[in-house]
Amino acid sequence: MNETSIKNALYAILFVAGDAVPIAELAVSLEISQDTLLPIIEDMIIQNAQNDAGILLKKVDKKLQLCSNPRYMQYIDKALQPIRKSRLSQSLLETLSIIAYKQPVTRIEIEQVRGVACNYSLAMLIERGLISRSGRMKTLGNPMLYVTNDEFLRHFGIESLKDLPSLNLTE
Amino acid sequence: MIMNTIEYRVKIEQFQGPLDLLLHLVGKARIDIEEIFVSKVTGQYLSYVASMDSLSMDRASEFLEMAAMLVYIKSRMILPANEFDEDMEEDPEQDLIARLKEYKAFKDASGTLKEYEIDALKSCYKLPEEVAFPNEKVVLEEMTMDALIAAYQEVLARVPDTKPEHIEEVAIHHDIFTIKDRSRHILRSLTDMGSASFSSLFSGASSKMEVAVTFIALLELMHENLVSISQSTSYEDILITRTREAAAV
Repeated sequence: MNETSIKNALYAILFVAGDAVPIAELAVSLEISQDTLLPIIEDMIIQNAQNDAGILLKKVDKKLQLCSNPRYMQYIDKALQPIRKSRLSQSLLETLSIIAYKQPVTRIEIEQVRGVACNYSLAMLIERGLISRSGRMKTLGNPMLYVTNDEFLRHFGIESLKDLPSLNLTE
Repeated sequence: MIMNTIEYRVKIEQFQGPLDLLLHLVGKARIDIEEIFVSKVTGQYLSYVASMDSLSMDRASEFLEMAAMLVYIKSRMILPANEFDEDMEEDPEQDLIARLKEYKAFKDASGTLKEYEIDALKSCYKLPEEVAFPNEKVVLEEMTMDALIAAYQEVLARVPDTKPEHIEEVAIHHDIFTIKDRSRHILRSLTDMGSASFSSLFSGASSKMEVAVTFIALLELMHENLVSISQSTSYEDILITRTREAAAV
């Protein structure tokens, strides 16, 4: 399989899947190593950006997914009026950012930072699928631990937690 | 003071909590967080809390707790240090400053995330697709009956023997009284006298089981509309009478 065929096959797989597909699985399906596949993916991402392509490849954690180019949102709106995801309120954003940086984190730890009760925010974030429960902390009362998930990365358009804005604690 | 109160009358909903309010006041005073206790911020915070008129208990307590903490820290600065304070491992002033800084860091980060969010919401993702290929067939290659039997025996060997080791013997007695018998008994008592009192139906009963089954039989007869019941006054014996339908049977 030459590079062009690999690229074409990638699009075909991702189009059919819709969802994010682990890059490791893509490599197995294409019968190439991940080391071969990764630079090809990077190349495709750069090419798409240069060409202002309608469909972009997006890395979400160690998965790959197709998404529409934000540049063409207004036309998608006109054509389809898709259900727009709403933005998060300030209290949800604050709670979510604490989870993102401190995960896995308990409700008490979040409340210590914010200085307010966070039950409602946590319930809303779970309902919106941006955070998940991840077991319990092995300490008194076994409190629930919260983590962010893939939907969180997608919602903010970042590839991994490494892409979070840096936290300035010294100021 | 009254002027201050009006000046800082801001909607409580505007703030995420006492830390948020403190940061707002620090920003308004154009000072660094470290300078908070040598500034007028404590006084401003207190007059702000005093101006809150309607507030849910939950939220008010969060703001009041912080007010108490601020007053305590101020008082420590004015009063000479006592032994108790020197023994304390944590310095409430530095502790609060650290909390404020931490909160500010997350608040700032959430502001940046908000910008990320605005950009990211312009991209659309597809939902996971249920992949169903047409003409999908299951092909069993080189499948023989022997292989099938072997596979079955393998499964049997894997399943643990679930036969219980000890079976307790339970005697199940034959029902002496049946609803059918008791119905017949009731109807017979009625045929002899045209009607019968409720208590007379149970007068010859030898066991609780007989009473229970007779009662169920009576309910059954009423359900089938073969008997009707009447009572002249409260607590009087109930009279059971054959219906016309029953006479016809």
